Amino acid sequence: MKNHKFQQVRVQVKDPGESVRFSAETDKQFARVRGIHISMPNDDVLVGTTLGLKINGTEIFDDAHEMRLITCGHQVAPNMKFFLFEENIEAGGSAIEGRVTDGGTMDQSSFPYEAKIYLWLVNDEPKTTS
Amino acid sequence: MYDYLNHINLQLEQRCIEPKLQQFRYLSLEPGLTRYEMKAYNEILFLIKPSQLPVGTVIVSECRSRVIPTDVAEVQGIEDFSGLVVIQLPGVPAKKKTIEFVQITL
Amino acid sequence: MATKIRYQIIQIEVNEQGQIAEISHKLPLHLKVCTGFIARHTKGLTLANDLNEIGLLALEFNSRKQLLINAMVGFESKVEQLPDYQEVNIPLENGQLVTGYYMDTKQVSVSDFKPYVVSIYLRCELEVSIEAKECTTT
Repeated sequence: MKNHKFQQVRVQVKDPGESVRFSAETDKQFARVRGIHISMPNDDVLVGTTLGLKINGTEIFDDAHEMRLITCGHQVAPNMKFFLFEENIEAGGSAIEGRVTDGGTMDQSSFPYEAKIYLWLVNDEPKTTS
Repeated sequence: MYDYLNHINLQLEQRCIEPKLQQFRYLSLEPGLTRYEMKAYNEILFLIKPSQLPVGTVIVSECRSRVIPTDVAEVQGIEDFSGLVVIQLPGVPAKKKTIEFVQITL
Repeated sequence: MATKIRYQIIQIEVNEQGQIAEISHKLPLHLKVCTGFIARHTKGLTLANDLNEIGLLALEFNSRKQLLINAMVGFESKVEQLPDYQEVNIPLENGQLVTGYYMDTKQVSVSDFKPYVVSIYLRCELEVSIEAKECTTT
């Protein structure tokens, strides 16, 4: 059985302040999404930039959710980079819909850039907290 | 002639992939556009004639990325891509052109 | 039985801007499971600040039967923390290939480009640990 996959969803942002809708699909072979990590080409474009995300029709993040809250700097250890979901979020070929809205704080020279969204897909059961 | 369908079937067998569907999928290159995105989530796309693409074209996907080399006409092998497949042409195509893929739905 | 950890290192030389380096690395027969990985810049770049991304990495295991890792590689200007391996649990088939690619995405002009080396560290075990067994059966 396959236990882990780090699936990438790339979103190109062309202009300052642009709002880009995107859609994708989780890998069918994995049961749930354990966590998420966002990588931006540089920290400056993170200011005010937001990510809305729905997986399988369930709202994970509202459109106004700051990307800064689900990313981290390079000094964070690889095993700590992911924002882990406490609830069970189904993968298994689920539709991913989202919107990246650029913060509009950088000039055109920083564009286009790609926001890279990494989903940590697993096949284990979610840990329950008592 | 090199039998690419046989190669694809052999690849799928070796990788323990049981396809739900195998068919052709086409991408139209339009004059004026240099960047194309193809969604191939839970799919595999085999680019069967890479020489259709201009030299210097960059193809990026979640399993494989490739720059079309200068000697592409002599290359017989075919490669597969999946996830979000981004095709970036080195320049604007002069006329409309159709690129062929074999699409494997998982 | 106690597990025995072995580190497999795959080194990639990046000599051109935007280079796509293919990875094809045969793992030794005796490795049974990959439990973690780190991908990092090893040498070549000398920058004052950290960079979140200098390139993209994709890795498949067991001769392309499993696509498992899509990750970015960044640049660390100075070491501030011991890197904790990204945990995975990939059962390895005997002596199969790890394949994939590394693509340079560092946005610099061609004249400013400097060659550099990226290393991928795979933490593997000779025997399947109890934890790994539990995960593979869920």
